[in-house]
Amino acid sequence: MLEDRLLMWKYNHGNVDVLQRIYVKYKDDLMTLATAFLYDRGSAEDVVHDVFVTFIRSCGKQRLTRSLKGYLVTCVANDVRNKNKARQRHASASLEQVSPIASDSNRPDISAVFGKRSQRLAWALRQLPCRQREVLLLHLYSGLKFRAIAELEGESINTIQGRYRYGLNKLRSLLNSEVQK
Amino acid sequence: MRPADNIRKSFTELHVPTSARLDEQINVEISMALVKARNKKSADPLPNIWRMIVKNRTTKLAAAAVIIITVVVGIHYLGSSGTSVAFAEVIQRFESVPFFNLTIYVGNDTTAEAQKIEIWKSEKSQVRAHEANKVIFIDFADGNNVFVAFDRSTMQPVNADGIAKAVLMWILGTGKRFSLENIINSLPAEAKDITSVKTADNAASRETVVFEARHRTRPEQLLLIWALRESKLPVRMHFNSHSKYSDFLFDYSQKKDSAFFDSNAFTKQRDR
Repeated sequence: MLEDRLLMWKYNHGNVDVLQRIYVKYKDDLMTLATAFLYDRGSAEDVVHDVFVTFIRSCGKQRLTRSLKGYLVTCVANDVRNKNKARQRHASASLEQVSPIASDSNRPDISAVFGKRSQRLAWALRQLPCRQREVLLLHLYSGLKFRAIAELEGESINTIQGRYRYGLNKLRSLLNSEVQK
Repeated sequence: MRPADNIRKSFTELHVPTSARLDEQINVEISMALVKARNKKSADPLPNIWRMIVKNRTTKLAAAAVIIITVVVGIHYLGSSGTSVAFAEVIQRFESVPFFNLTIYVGNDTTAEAQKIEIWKSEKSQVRAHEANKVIFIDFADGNNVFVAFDRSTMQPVNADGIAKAVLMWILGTGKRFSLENIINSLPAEAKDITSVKTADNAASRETVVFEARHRTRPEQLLLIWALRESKLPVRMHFNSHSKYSDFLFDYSQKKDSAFFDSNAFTKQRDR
């Protein structure tokens, strides 16, 4: 946490020497988050690439005030949303159609992306509606507070907490039913 | 343990690492930011120390002594292996060559095969590069640095982004000229001291001279440059950083004709 404050201070003052450390520190977290949003490694890499390139080019030009990780996570979430919107416009399909509900036959793909250890969770997450999945990932994986997620999504904090509860219940029942099988 | 805690724990096990290609692209982007920052810093007006020095007789003498000591120490370090070749001469000589061919291998310890990139520069400051199935043309004489890329099999236009473009931008820097100086400028401050490497006294070392820039605190990060003692031209450059490496091999023997660097001539082949 203290290291992040120092990195942010240096970044705000245009010290480009900190960029390598920031990239190494957060690259895998952001890559995992983007992959969990998109279920496509290639698109997730595009998102992480775009986010970091913009971040690098803005060194010293923008001022980070809250949390470094929170800022990068928000950038990834926004970029994913933009990508989904663009895809939606392109295919004139709904967000749910863009991320099709997975069947058991999709399991090998999931394990190829996330590894065998996390394939159950990844599979269950994929069954959730997009917005519930987003709240769960931002809160439980990236550690964003509900208030921050509400700001990001442009919704009230109650709506976000509601999505979290519904999402968590559904995820739990999916994982339990999976265990009973 | 609350039910949410079990799920929270399983979230922490999610892990998808970035690919070596993405790491390479971001590292190049960071290197470019470093070059830009250094160039900006050197362009910023400095406080007028010189005027302060020349106004005072004592400081004038002290400054002269410092300059003499710096020159003597510099000659001692750059020429420590008994060579009269200074790195500045290698930089200068490389900038004066009319044409060259540069083959670059980029790889890391985990992947068996390194990526190969070839770059040719013409006398008229035109560049052609090959990266996998992509061919890139750039004419930097006008200073616009417009990259045009095509697929070599279909000959259709493609996006120029990639390692070749990043390397070209790295060597071109903001000065719009191919220079080893741009590469040195992009190194972190802790690795900017270029020293000549002491080599064994044999036939090879009598013909070549080796320079290195090693990171002061992370010795695994280093840049090695081999240059010919007589012509002072660089022949090889090896850049090592963590588990990644890049090898640059310079060749000055083949001169390509102007059509080779002409993107229009390339597209005409497609239209034929």
